[in-house]
Amino acid sequence: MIEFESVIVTLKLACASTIVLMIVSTPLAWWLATTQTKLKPFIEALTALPLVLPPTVFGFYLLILFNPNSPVGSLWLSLSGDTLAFSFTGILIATVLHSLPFVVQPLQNAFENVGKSAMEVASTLGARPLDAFLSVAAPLAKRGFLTATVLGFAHSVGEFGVILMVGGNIPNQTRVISIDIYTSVETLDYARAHILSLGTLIFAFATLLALYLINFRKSKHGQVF
Amino acid sequence: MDKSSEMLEVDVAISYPGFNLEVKEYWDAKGTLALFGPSGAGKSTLLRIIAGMELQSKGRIIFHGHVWQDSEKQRFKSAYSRSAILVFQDGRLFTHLNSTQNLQFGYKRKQDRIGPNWDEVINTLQLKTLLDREISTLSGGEKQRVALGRALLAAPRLLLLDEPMSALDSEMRDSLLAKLKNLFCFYEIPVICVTHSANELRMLGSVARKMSSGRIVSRNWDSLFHLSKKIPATIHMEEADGLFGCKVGSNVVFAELGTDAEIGTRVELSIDRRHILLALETSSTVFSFGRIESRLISVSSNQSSGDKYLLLDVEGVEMKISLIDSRLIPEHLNFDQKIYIILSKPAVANLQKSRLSALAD
Repeated sequence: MIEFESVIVTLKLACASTIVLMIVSTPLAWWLATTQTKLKPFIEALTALPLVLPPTVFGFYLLILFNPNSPVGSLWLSLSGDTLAFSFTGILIATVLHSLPFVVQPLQNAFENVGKSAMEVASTLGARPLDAFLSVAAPLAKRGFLTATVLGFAHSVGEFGVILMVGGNIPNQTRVISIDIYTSVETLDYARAHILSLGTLIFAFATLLALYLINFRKSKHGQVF
Repeated sequence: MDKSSEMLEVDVAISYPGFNLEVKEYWDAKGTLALFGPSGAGKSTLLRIIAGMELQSKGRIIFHGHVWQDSEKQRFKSAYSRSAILVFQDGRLFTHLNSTQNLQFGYKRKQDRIGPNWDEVINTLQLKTLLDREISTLSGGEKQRVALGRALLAAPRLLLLDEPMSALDSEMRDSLLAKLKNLFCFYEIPVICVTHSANELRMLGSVARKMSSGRIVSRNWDSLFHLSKKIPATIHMEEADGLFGCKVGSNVVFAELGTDAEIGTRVELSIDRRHILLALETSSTVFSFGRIESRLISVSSNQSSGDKYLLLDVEGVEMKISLIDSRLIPEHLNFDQKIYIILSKPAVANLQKSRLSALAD
C-alpha cells in the first residue's frame, strides 16, 4: 500500500493557511476598501505581486529572509529554536503570502460593494464600528467571504514553486501533494503520480463547482448581497 | 437643565469642489425645524454634518450643552454616540435583514435613552402588516415607513428627516404626519426635516429655514404656517376716491380702505381671485391696480374637486391662489419661480387689528 503522508501535510497546510489568510486579509481588505490615503495603490500593488511574480523569485527572496543569519531568520530561531527555512512554519508563511491576493481581492470587492451608506445608517442607529462591521458589513459581504475562503484554500492546496524553494521536499514536513507528484514523475513512479493528480483534479473541480453552484443559486433567488 | 442649554447651535462649514456650505444657526431644539430650498442647496449635506457623517466638516455643533463637534479643539463625537438619527429619502434599509430585524436594529442599541415603544411605533406608522417581510418585497412608501419606524425605535435625541415621506401618497402622508407630530411632541424629540412639500412644511413646521447655495437665506417663514389669505402691507400714499397706495415689499398696489389712515399704517390686503391675473414677467402695457411679486412654493390640486391651485410666498406669507379656470396655470413652473400677481381691481385693505390684539394676549 502506498503511503499518502503528503495528502495529510497538504490538508494541514491548506487549513492552517486559510485560517491565517482570513485573519490577516479581513482587516487588510477592509482598510483597502475604505481608506482615502495615497498609500493605497502601493499596498494594493504589493498585495497583488504574487499574481504576476514567478514563484521562484518569490521563494528566493523568502529563502533569503528565512536564513538564520538574516534579522527575521535569527529572530525566529531565538524565539522558537527552529529555522524557518525547510520547516512547516516556513512553508505556511510562504503559502499565506503567496495566496494573499486570492483572498484580499474578493474581500475588498465585497466590502466596496457594501458601500459607505449602509455603514452610515448603522452608525447613525448607534452601532459602533466593530458592531457595524459584524452586523452589517460582514453579512452583506458573505458571498465575498465564501469566495475568498474557497480560493484561499484551493490556492494553498495547489501551491508548488514557492514551497519547493522554501521548504524543499521533506516527508511529513514540507512534502505536499504537488511536490510529491513532481518527485514521483522524476522517479518514474507514474502510478503514484496518477493517483495523486487525479485526486487533486477531482478535488479542485468539486470545490469550484460547489462555489459556483452556491453563487448561482443565490443569484437565481434574486437576493442581493 | 437651564433653558440656554436646550439649544442646537450649529456653526459649520464644508467645501467640496464646486460646492460650499456655511451655516450658522441657533435653534431652541423644540418642535420641528423645516428645511427647504431648491435641490443642491445643501440641505441633505447639513443634515449629514449634524448627524456626524461628514468628517471633513469644520466648525462647531453643540446640542443640549453637549459638544458634538469643535474643530478648533479637535473634538468630533462619532455618529454612533450622537444619537442624531438620520432617515434618508430612500430608506436605506438593510437588505440582509427583514423588516422586523431592521426595526430592531436601533431598538437593541438605544441603551438607556427613553423613546417611543414598540407598539406605539408599529401602530403610528401602520407597520403591522409589514412585519417579517423581506426588504425586496416592500414598495418605496413601505420602505420609508419602516425606515421612519427604525429611527423612532432607536430613541433619537434629535431626528433628522431627509424627505422621509416623498414616496407616500398624500392621504397616507397627511394622516401619518399628524400622528407622528404627536409622537415627537410626547417624547420631546426635536426634528429637523428637509421637505419640498408645502403641505409637509405646514403640518410639521414650527420654524422654517430656507437654504440656497449652501447658505440659509431666509428665516422669515415663521408665519408660513398660518395659511393666510391676507397680505401684510403698509399705507404708502393716499389717492383720490378712497384709494390708497399700499406697499407690499418693494411693490405698490392700490387698495380700498373704509376709513382714513395715516401713511405708514399697517394693513392687511385681501385680494379676490376673480380680479387677479398671474404673470411670469412684468409688462408695463397692462393696465392694472398694481402688481405683487411672489415666489412659487408649489402647484397643488384640491383633493375633492381636483382643481389646481398655486401656493405662493408673498413677502413671507404663504398664499393659496386659485384661478377661476385652472387651465390657465401653465404646465412647467419651477419651485421658487417669480410670479407676479396683477390686480385688475383694487384690493380690500383692513387695519391690522386682529394681529395686534393677538399680540396683546
